[in-house]
Amino acid sequence: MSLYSFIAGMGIAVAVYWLYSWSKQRGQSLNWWKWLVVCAWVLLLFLTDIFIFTSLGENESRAALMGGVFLTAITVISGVGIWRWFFTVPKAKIIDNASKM
Amino acid sequence: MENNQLENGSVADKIKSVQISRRSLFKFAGLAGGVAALGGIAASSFGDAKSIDTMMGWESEQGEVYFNREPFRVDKPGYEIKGPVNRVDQDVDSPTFRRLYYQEDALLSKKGEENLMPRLKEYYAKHPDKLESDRAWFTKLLPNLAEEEKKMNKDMWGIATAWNKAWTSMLAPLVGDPKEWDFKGVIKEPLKVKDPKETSKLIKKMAGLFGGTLVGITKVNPRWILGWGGGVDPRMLPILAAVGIDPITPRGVRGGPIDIPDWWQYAIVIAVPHEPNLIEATPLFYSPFEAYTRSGLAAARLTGFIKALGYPARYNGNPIIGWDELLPTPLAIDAGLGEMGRPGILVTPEFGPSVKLAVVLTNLPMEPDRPINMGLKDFCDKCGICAEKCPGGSIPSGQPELQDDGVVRWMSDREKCQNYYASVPVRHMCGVCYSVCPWRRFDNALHKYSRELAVRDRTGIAHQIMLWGQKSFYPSPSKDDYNAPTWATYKDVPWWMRTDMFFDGIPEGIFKK
Repeated sequence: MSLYSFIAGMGIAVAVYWLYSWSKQRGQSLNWWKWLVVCAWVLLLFLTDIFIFTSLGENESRAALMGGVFLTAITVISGVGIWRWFFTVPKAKIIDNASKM
Repeated sequence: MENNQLENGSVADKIKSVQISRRSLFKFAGLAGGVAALGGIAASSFGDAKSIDTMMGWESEQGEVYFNREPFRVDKPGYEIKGPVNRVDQDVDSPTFRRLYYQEDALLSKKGEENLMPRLKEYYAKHPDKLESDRAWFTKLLPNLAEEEKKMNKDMWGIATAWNKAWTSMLAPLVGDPKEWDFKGVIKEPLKVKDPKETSKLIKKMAGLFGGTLVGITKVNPRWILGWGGGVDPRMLPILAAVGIDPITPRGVRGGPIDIPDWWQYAIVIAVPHEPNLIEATPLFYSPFEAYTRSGLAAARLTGFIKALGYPARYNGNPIIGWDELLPTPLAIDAGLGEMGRPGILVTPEFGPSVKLAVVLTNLPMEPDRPINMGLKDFCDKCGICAEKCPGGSIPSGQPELQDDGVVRWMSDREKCQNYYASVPVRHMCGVCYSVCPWRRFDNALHKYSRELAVRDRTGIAHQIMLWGQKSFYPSPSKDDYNAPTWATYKDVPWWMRTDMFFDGIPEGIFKK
């Protein structure tokens, strides 16, 4: 279990640094509350993962399926919403910015 | 969303100045990963060095704390005392004993009610409904049971029966008169206690090493003491009555005062969980004896330990180790092991209600623990799964009520409970309420975090969400499925209980799902 935990830790460290660098590159640095929202979403993602695989391990296949579908739907919808809100530049603004160049 | 402000050259320059090349990005990512890996290895190694999982063969005796109770300690237990204790005759109030005497008397005298013991006659005169239900026990319930058992191959329970025999093959000696028994083996010069707080730590450590899982200490509340059982095997009572002897066991008889020995000052309550996979095979394969025996023997060892320190001690509180001289559940609540749940039994944060208790009474100076508030009343108010699933219909679905012990609490109907479990073929046990309780979960990340959230939820919102998830995602048999002809079990029978897998000529039968 410790091995899996520090593999997960390594992955998180890499992913966080990638997000930080990528957002900086695009000039869309995240402020403190946006980081908070991203962290909350990541926790939701982990909760979904934990729920599905714990349920499978406990032979609760119906819980894994139903709960998994429910939580995955929430995770995907909220993830798309956060992505669009934080990282997507509206077309009008791209055109506007381009015209000013 | 921040826009690229290309019209502001200074900002664009700043962006360019911090722009990281792909190569640098990978370098930093690798460095971050390496640092994280080293940190993880360091933490993991340190933790492993301290871990009780490395204690090889003595892991479970190290007193692992699955749930930290300290933040939830309160000054008073959660139950409400509203009246005096109405001490009833424990011998005749209990349907078990009453039916035993009725049957014995009927068998001995063949004259039915005429030759019942005087106390039983008096009881039935006041409770004619109990006479009818006790008679129905013999005229309906037992014959129905016999019919059900004829339909089943009892060899299917071969391993289950052997399991029970194994767990009851070594028992602690029965206790005797407290004035003698509690002092037998006590060394003459007691060791003097330095600090009661430190003694509590020592006793809890020892109780764990002796086999206890949860240990709590409380001052004895006389309300929870029923009295010394008298040393008479209840099954002897009708035989003695037939020859004119009716030894009234002092155990809480007829509302009179009881003599509580003055050395019964502290109660050390030990709880041991049921085997977690077997409890899920309830009711057909439920056995309480592994938990009763483990808690009982831990209490017996602890008793010997305390006596060897120079203090009187006595174990009690479960059928393996002696008479029912006290009520272990409220003592466990006072000691902070858990709270009172809807079935009228202890519910612990770690194991739910799936524990068996044993108690050691002593005057060894200790610092008692305080009760806890784990938010159980609110949870049970919203839940009600045990009441919904109880195959005997014995668990109340309403609010707590005032009981004979003067406490406002939930209490299951013993008659209905016993009527059901006695009707279960071969094993004659139940345990459905233990299995279905949402607090009885394995100690993995999902349930550990859920538990930590549930005990802290004072708004009730988390409880609602969790119960919605419990009822929506975790199906279980209905109360009717636990009866004939279905005889469902809560979950599958564990492989090591399946006699058909190891021995010839055993049908798959009830094991097949």
